[in-house]
Amino acid sequence: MIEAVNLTKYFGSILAADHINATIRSGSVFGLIGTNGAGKSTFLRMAAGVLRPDEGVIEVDGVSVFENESVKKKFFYISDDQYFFGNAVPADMMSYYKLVYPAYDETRFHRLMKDFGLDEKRKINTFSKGMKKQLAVICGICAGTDYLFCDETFDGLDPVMRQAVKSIFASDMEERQLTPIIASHNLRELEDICDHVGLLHKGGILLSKDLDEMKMNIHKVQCVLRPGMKPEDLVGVELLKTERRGKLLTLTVRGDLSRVEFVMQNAEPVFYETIPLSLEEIFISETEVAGYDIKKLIF
Amino acid sequence: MTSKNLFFKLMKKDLMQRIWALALIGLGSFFAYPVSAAIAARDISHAQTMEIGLGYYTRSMAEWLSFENGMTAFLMTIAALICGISSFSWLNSRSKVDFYHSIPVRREKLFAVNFVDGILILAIPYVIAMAAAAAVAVGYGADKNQIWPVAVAACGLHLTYFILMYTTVVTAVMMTGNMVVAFLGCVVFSAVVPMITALSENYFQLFFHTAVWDNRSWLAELGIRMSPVVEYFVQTSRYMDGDPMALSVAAALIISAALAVLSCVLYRKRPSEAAGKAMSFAVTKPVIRLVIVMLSSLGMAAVFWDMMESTGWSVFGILCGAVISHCTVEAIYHFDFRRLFAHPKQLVGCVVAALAVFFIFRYDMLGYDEYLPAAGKVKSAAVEFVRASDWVDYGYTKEEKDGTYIWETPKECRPLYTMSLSSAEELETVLNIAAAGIEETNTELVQAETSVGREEEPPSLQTYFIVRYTLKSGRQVSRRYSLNVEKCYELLETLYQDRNYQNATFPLLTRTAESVCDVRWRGGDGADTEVCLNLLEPEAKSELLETYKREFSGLTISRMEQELPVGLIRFTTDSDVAGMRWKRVLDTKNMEDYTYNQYRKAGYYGMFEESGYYPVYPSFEETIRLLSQYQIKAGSYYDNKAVMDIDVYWYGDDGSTTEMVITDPQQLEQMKRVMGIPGMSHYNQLFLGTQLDIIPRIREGGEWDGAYSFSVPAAWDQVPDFVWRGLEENAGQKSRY
Repeated sequence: MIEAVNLTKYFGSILAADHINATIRSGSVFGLIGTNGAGKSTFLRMAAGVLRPDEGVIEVDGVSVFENESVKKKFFYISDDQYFFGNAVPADMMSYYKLVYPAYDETRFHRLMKDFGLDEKRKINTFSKGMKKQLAVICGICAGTDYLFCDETFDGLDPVMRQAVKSIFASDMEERQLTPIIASHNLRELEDICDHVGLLHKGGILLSKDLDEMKMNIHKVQCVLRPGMKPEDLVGVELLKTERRGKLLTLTVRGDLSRVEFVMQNAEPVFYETIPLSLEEIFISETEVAGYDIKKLIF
Repeated sequence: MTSKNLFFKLMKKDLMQRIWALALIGLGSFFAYPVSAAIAARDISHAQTMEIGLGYYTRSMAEWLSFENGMTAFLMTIAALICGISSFSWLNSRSKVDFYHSIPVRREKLFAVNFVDGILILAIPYVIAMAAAAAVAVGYGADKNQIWPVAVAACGLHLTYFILMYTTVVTAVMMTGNMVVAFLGCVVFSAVVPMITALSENYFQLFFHTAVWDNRSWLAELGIRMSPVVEYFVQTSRYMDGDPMALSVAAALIISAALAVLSCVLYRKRPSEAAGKAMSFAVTKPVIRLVIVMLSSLGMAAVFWDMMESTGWSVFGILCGAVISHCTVEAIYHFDFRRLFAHPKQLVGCVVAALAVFFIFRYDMLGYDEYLPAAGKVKSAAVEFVRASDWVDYGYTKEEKDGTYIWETPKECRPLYTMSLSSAEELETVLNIAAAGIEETNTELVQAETSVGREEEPPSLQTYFIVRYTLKSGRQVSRRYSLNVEKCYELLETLYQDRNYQNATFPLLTRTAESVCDVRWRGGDGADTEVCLNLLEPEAKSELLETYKREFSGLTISRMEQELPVGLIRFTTDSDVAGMRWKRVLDTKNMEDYTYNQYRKAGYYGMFEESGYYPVYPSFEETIRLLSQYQIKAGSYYDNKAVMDIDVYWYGDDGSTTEMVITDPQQLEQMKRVMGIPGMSHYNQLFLGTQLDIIPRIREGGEWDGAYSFSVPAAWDQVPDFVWRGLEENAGQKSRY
């Protein structure tokens, strides 16, 4: 488990991380979402022990990260601009990582390189941006660490690759409790990967929730109510948002799906249908409840 | 995997990353040493004989491979810069910092890996190339007993000073976040303390008339050498002089170790986010800016003062220096020209401080030139009355362990370090002379214009007078005054007669007959007509020495003003004679045949034969009488000289020259009686000589029918009337020259 308490970082007079309190449970994919400059990279760099927090502490499995060699063996950090040695080929990077990560899986590295169609003998500086990101992910997965910190790693990866990575994550999570922490400014790219999402804004965490929990507890209902009946008359669900197009209402409600359906059936509407929300829509609703206009924060 | 193994494996990986530097230095070393050793070997066959060729080859190779090779020192300086910056340049890139600081390797280990590799990148190719060059040289027939010791010593010494410079560069890199700024940081680290020291000395010289600057204090010496580059080149020079270097090398290694530890601490404290910024630590910014701005403004003020001697121009220099340097530093700090005046208060503060320093010096606000300690506070004093003792050499011949001889002149042998005038009378005399010096410092010298005519008054003699007080507090203070000898005549005469002064100023006076090996006499033509009394009985030596000492210590300034020496006498020591004998053997060889050790000290060998002579005055009657017992006729220089004519010149203040030529035999005879012996005026700089330039032309004897001439002194009041008449008649005519 990774736990940040009052984590604060200044760059000169700029407050990059503002008393962040967050808990990242092991065994799930944690998505860290936020606009550019929200503090995602700063948070991950502090989590990786690159930056020393000005205030607060960040711990991995109960131990402070900064300048702690044994803790650093538990994670692999992929920066948004991952460094590869000059003139190096993938095999060079693998041999270096093998030196410093005791559980590095060389066999798996070769296999994944082949699966992803990357040439181990080709100079990395001739790789495309996407290929470099794939290589970074492969290096990180093969490091055999408990945690994998990915900073904007999936931005720009094509859907096929994302799926491939997602399946690798899934198998590693099942086999060895890998915990990927993925920072991105794009909600849509995280939607199919993350289990838990934290929303960073202006250096602080605005929201941190389990995606399934969010999805289970928030629903969209399209309905046409009986004449004279108003959305506010639906008792038993928490109405978050109402949109009206003629007689057709689109309601965003919080609550268990069976409960929502029970309430809707009891209300005897002319028509109703429950629709799953996209992560984007969930965030819009949740942050609006918190008093923010998410469209201004992310999109 | 053990930590130790990981360390070496990381080192190997890092070396592979910097293989370009290894290749570059390896290539340079290969051509600079083994290849050049092979190329130089072709000169062996060009020599007259194989033996001469090999001797020359051995010496030239020893010189090339040795620590004195300035080219190696220069290349080491460049290599230190390359290795130091390349070792830690990754700290200036965010992506690289993210990479290295996120992997599970402690920063100390990362530092050690990069630090050691930076040294190995130079050391491995350099040592291999040196060994190869020595092997090539020995293979071609060079003397292995000369080549290998020199090469091994050079490896150790060059690497020592490389490490010193390298650790300085690494420290600069740790304090900066950009490669260009790191380079500038290296320049600042290498130059700032010597520049502060040099500027301080310059201000003392420019504004304080009584500052002693020919003998640098230990603090100033330390300041000048507080730069790895300067220290490196100072040590190469000391090596050439054969000075002992163990302490300096130990100091360099200790400082290197301290800098390495400091660099590691700075690295640990260095924030990762410093990558790409100008400075890693915000706290250092104002300190460095302050030092640079103060140095620049005061330096510009000194330049303008030197050119214009104007307070206004110097203030202009301060303003220019401060604004330009402040803006330059701000532009580097912020990488932004719009922030040139980001700290206006600091700029104003520096200008005010620089103005304060300038005016303190300019108007001597601290009373430096007026300094005169109270008699009760002075424990002792040492003085140098420069005109009275400028001719004395305080060196001695010393035999080296390898059988060669050198001329040693330690600073500690000078009277300022050996003299101790501590009685109330002595101190009163010294303080009174100093007071006269202070008074004279405040008096502007006015040069009267003169025209051709008889000298009615003796020439005015100015002398430098250096005082070194040792105060009861333990502090030592030195001052130098320019004194008019006539104005302080009584005081200087009293001092000159002081036994402590004499013993410290003229080391011969403390010598005993047992230390005398032989006695040598020069009557005027240098070594050519030197007479060596090497068969004297001990009693005769003693009598001659004691007589000379008695008459020399009885010499007065008034007598020196009237007399010129008639010859020079030297009481040699055993080592003097051994050194001269050794040199004479050496003189039979060509310089090309010298061994390396002989060659590098050859510049001092002339001192063996030219130093240690004392003047014999005409009034030293007893000495002259004793010398005459050995057929030495003092004062007979012109007796057998065929003076063909004498040119007399008078130089006007307006640059005009008036000349007369004396050819009349009677006049020539008259002139021979008043002319001093050439070269003797150096041994009596208190002699009141005429301002005329008198140049006799003497016919060369023997088979060669030539002539030689030289300038000789004569007393101001003994120039015959016909000379003045002749000059007055010739005034206005164009000189032959």
